[in-house]
Amino acid sequence: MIRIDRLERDLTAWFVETAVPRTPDYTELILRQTAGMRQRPRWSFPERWLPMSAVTLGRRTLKPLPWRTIGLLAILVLLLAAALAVYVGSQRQLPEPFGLARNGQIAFSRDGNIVAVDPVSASTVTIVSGPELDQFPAWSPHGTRIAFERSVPGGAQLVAVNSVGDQLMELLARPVGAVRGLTWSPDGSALAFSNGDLWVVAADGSGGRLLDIGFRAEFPLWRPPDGREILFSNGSGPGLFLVRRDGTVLRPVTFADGTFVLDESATWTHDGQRLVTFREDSGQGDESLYRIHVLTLGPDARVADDRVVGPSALPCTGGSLSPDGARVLFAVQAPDGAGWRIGVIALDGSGLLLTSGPSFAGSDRTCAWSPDGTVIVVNDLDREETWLLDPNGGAARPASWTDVSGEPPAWQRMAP
Amino acid sequence: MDQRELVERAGRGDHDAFGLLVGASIARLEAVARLILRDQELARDAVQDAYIRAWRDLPGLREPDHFDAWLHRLTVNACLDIVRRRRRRPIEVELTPTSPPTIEDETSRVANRDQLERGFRRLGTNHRAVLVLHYYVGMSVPALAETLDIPLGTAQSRLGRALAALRETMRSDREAEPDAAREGQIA
Repeated sequence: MIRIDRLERDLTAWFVETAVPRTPDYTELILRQTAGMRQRPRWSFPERWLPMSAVTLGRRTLKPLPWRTIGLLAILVLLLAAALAVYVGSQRQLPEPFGLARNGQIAFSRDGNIVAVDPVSASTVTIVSGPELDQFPAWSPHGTRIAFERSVPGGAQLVAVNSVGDQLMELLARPVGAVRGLTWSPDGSALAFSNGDLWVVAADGSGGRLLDIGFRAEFPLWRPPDGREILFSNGSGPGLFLVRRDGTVLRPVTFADGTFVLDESATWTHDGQRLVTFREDSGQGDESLYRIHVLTLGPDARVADDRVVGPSALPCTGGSLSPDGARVLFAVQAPDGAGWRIGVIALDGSGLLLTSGPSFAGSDRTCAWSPDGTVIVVNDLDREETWLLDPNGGAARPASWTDVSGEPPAWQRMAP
Repeated sequence: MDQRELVERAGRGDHDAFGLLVGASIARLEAVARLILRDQELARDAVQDAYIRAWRDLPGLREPDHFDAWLHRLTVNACLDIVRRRRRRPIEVELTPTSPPTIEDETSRVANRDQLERGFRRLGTNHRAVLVLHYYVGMSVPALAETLDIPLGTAQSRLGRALAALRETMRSDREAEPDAAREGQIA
């Protein structure tokens, strides 16, 4: 049995006994392996360049790096970074093309440039500027791009930029006469506009096509929810028509007796089954006789139900249906007969409300619901004023900016 | 030709000089690796790794006189790397005697060797390495520090802890033996 005080001596002896040095039989193998191996170049060793004192000092005073721990920490950091990226990415969700959304900026043209105002801070930024005449901006359904008309030699070009004005892209191969009634498809993949002819243009710049309608087409409107059809007005005669986005299957929207539906300001409900129209049936053109009609369409594009909602009402350029699809806004003659007021009513005829605020002098005005449905913006083009109305009866307030472009207000939709 | 000149020539790519250096050192390094790893095949892998690394990195050796210490460092590091790799793969390392003993007092030597063997194999690789370099290779504590690339104080304390650990494992082993014997008698 070993005595502890002899341990070191016995350990040495045991080492010598159990590990007799002998030349192993793989010596030649090592030499063959190394003979075919290149040495590292001398300059690649940091020790060749650093003072020996620095090299040895560093080694003697610093603890060996815990590479395993460092590796685990690096993996942890990467995982956290990935999780953060996923989190940040999730914060940039896009809004649905229909329904309530968060309010973004309002875009309009001013002095030939495209500007956008933040309704909360009232700060205005220029999205697109330059010598060209740019107008009629329209936000994409997801609020990530703006398309607009640019006047160019030979006509007009359809142009799109992102929300801060970058990545400008001309969407037409060559200029056309005009770009009016610009409207995005629900999925944001295409736009439609009219210059007398009806155009469908890919939003990625891959090209556009003129739909062969055979008569003048105006005021295109994609049919929700999938945008497979486009509603438009006959610019040469009476009636609303539907056509597939590829230009096929043209059909009129008619009543059961085959007569045309007359309207230039129809709006789809989100399900694409009903049309909100403003119409007077006497044919006299008397504004006091216009009423809101909610038309339910059958599969053959015939009106299956025609329901009159609310009082005498006129449309307001820019769209009438609230983002939740439940209410419609309209202009109505003020009770004292002095000018016009803005009212709202549910599609089922309930909840008639006349908003507070001024009476608008003339009939020249544009309106829009905010994406969150809490504000109606009204541009009074006669008085050159912009007002923010409360569709729930609260106080109206003048906006800190004025949009007298006459364009339908373009309010950016943001993810809630 | 002395070792310094051989090292310098090998560092300039002279493989023949390197062959001479290998021939002069491989027996001792192989024994060191066998002691640390207590396994013939693993020791072979460690020595091969160490010499391959040595050939590749020789041009970076600034002090040819430190070649031996450097080579031992490469060998110990290769042993540690092999143990780390095997830890990741749950393979039991077979610890077998590596050389037949030459013994004067057969009875006491066998008992001593068995106790040492059991105690030594229970040590960690770092402790085994420091004991082998100090008590087998004969390195001083400063040389130990240089070879293992650790501070002098760390080398001193690691050597002390390795010895203490060996004493403790052997003491536990001794205390367990009478119990085992008694159990055998009862059985």
